[in-house]
Amino acid sequence: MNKRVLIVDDEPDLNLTVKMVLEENGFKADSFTDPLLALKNFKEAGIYDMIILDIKMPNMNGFELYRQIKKIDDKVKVCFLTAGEMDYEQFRKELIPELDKNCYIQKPIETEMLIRRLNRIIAPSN
Amino acid sequence: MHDYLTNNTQNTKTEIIYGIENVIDAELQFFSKTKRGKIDTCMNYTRPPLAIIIEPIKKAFLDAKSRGVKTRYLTEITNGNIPYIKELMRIAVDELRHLDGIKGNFMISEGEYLAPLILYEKGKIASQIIYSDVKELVEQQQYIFDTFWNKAISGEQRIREIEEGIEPSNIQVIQNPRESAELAYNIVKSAKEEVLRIFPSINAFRRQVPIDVMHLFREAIERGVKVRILIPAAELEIKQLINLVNLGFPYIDIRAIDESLYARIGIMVVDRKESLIIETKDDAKNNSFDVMGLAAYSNSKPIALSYTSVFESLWLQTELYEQLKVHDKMQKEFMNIAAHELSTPLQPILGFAEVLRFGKQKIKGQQDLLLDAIIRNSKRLQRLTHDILDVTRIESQSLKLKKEQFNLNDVIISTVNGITTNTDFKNENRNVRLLYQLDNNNNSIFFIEADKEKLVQVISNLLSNAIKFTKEGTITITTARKKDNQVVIGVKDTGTGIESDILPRLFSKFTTKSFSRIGLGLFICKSIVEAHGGKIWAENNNNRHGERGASFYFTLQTINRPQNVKVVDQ
Repeated sequence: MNKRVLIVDDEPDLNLTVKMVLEENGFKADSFTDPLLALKNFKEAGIYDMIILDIKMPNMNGFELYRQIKKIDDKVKVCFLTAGEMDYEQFRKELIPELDKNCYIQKPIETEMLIRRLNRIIAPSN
Repeated sequence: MHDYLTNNTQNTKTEIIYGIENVIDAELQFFSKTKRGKIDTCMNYTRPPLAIIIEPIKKAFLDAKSRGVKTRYLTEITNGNIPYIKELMRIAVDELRHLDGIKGNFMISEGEYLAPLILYEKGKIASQIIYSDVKELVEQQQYIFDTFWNKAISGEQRIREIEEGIEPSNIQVIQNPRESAELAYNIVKSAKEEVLRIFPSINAFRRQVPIDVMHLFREAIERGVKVRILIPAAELEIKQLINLVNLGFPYIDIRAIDESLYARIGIMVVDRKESLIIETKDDAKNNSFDVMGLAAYSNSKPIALSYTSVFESLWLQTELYEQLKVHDKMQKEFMNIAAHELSTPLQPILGFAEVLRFGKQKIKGQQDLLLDAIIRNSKRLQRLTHDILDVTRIESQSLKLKKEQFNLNDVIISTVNGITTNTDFKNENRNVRLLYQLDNNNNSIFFIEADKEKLVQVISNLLSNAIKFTKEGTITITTARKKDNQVVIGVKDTGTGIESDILPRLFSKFTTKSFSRIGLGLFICKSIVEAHGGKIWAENNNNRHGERGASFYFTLQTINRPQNVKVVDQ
């Protein structure tokens, strides 16, 4: 069955490209440029296998959005697509200490590598 | 009448001679017995006039001098006795020196000692005098005289100081900690302009916090005195102490200097005139008096200025250190922003190109869309590269202007048209209108001599900022004539306005409220405008008049209508 992914990034082109490469590779993907809108649409658990979030966004940052989403769906997997995770590490440790550095995916990333990383996050045992 | 105090076998004696006449007589004999050799005289400030006024004494001095007796005279020169001192120096003595507050009254010849006992006779001849020719006593007194003499300054110098109103310089070594503490207290109290203080250690500062000293500094500050303090300690440690101190003393400027500068002396300089250096004996003790060792006070300006320059160079160092930290932070920020700004457009370029090359499914009919996105993001990278290069040029002062003469109005119109006909603008900004308000008046045509390309860059940047922060409404561009052949170009929007926290550093590097900007645009605009000799500024529109948004303005110098420029009539 197709894995379902939610993408939230305030850059429309970034949203579109991630959505496209995921769909090309057999994922089902929804995307939002506004984190508040994304949260509003996140109504129940189990819809998505994974969420891909930007960190620096207007209205709500990616860590906070993840925390809010976890309240609705505590099983959903997460990764943060970012250019410089080091800036955010301290902040992340305070906000979501249960995650580790593996939650970051460094952009720009080639499609093949992105898919491999996502698959590993969704099903770590494989 | 003579009192014999000693009388020994060598036929020497020490006696007290009573009665004014006998006293004068003893002095005259003392002089006349000195056929050659020398006479040393040490007198308090009340005595020099008598040596001139009392004729026999004056004559005794003159006679001795004419016999070839070498006379040295030591006294305290004051405003009051200067005329007599001058006379003494002119006619009677070979050399005269000054010592502050001298109290001894005695004269020594080769073998005799004579000391007027001045009891109640300030300004009058003494009624008693001690005479001695005991060798040991004469030698002892000679030793005292020589010690004083060597500490004294020349009479000429002291007279000059008094006449020119110069404070005499002196250096005082103080052994007693209580005395040096009191002196420190007094000089801070007397400060008129500035107190500089280097504490030898954080402990030294800590010891002062609970006692009166900080109050003293506060009083000085309230009198308008600038107080600056340096402490060799970790900044954090000082901050904690400062917080404690600042509860009551908000204006003392205290800074940290490197801990390696931990010293064994504390320095205080007041008004760049007085300095006090206090040794630390044992920094571990809690009581200031147990800690303080020798102190050296000086009112010598050169010494105070030397310590001031030591202080200032350390102070400057703290400023440089602060600047370095700011610079370091900015550089880190730049790296972060640059990494973000580079990778954000790269991801769609990479992703879309891969989809176009390897994609199997949805690309049909979407090629153009994807290629457009690749071009758009490549352009964004290009813009970023240009911005970074521009900043590099600005900072290395190699921003070159290719000036030409042209019609400003035409350039504004074509820049506005370039933006409004752009597909992205049409798609994304359906509710934003760009308006160039141009009076139908010949006086509103402006010719300038400028770098056209860079001017377009400034206008485009201001417009694209305005568009970015304006969801709906009108962006109005204005050109207005000002005095001294200036034109003010304005870009007024109805957007969100400028947040007060970034307003003061709006034109600095890396200032941005946008999530997709590096924050170099306005810095570049400012540099370009200033390179043209203009000014740039921004303000929020007046809310009270129901106006939202912000306005940006910049000025340029206008020129007369050039001959070779074609003007399109409006």
